[in-house]
Amino acid sequence: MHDKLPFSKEYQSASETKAEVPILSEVVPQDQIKIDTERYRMAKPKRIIIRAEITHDKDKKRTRTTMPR
Amino acid sequence: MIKTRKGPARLCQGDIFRGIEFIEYVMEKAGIVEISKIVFPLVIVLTQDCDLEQDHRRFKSSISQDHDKWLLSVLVAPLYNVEHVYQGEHLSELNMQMQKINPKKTPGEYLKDNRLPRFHYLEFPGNVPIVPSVIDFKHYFSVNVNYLHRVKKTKFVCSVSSLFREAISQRFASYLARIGLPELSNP
Repeated sequence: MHDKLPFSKEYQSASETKAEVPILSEVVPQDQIKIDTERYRMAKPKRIIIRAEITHDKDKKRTRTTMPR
Repeated sequence: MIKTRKGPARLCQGDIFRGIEFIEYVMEKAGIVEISKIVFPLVIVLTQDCDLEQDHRRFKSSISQDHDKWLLSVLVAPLYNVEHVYQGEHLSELNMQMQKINPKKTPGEYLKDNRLPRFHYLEFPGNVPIVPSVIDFKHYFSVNVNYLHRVKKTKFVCSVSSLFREAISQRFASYLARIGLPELSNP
């Protein structure tokens, strides 16, 4: 098992959501949703490519994963 | 114009989320992991509502002895800004040029009237911060059901009300079930 994948900051923030699973008790009321309408008017789907080196420890020593044959 | 609602706490058909990621691939070579993903500004849930409702029961009780009704993933389709669709530019950041649709001529009018089987045009009420949008039924993907539960609090925008979402569902099913015939050349 790999302890950590040094993903980009963006990916970390996306994956490290503090929300618990499942969220069942609350739905965001419509009037509390704050969306930058202008930004969404212009937004288009975007591709993001993340490359990360697999490391086992904090020293980030490079290791190979074992692939099943 | 369609009708929207706040929706119950569970996932529902017709729910609209923002900023949903589609993982294109994950590759590992020589200790380097590469992940390619597309972030869609808005998507709508297409999975049948009864399936979502049955899946939701897993959180309510432990009566069921098996996991027969649990879902692995939820089917969603992106919403594109209709102005971008007219220009054929809605996927320009993925280096894709789509067909232009002239809004002032028959194709554009048919698009807005939902007479083109491939597309579904949506206009939202003023209290929903979404511009007039189009679903392209050729573009759909699945999202992990737990991921959607996890982000519902932060990424949920609104839910399309039942009659309107059923219209979307019916048109999507019809488009998916179409029979593709080959183009035969004259002898």
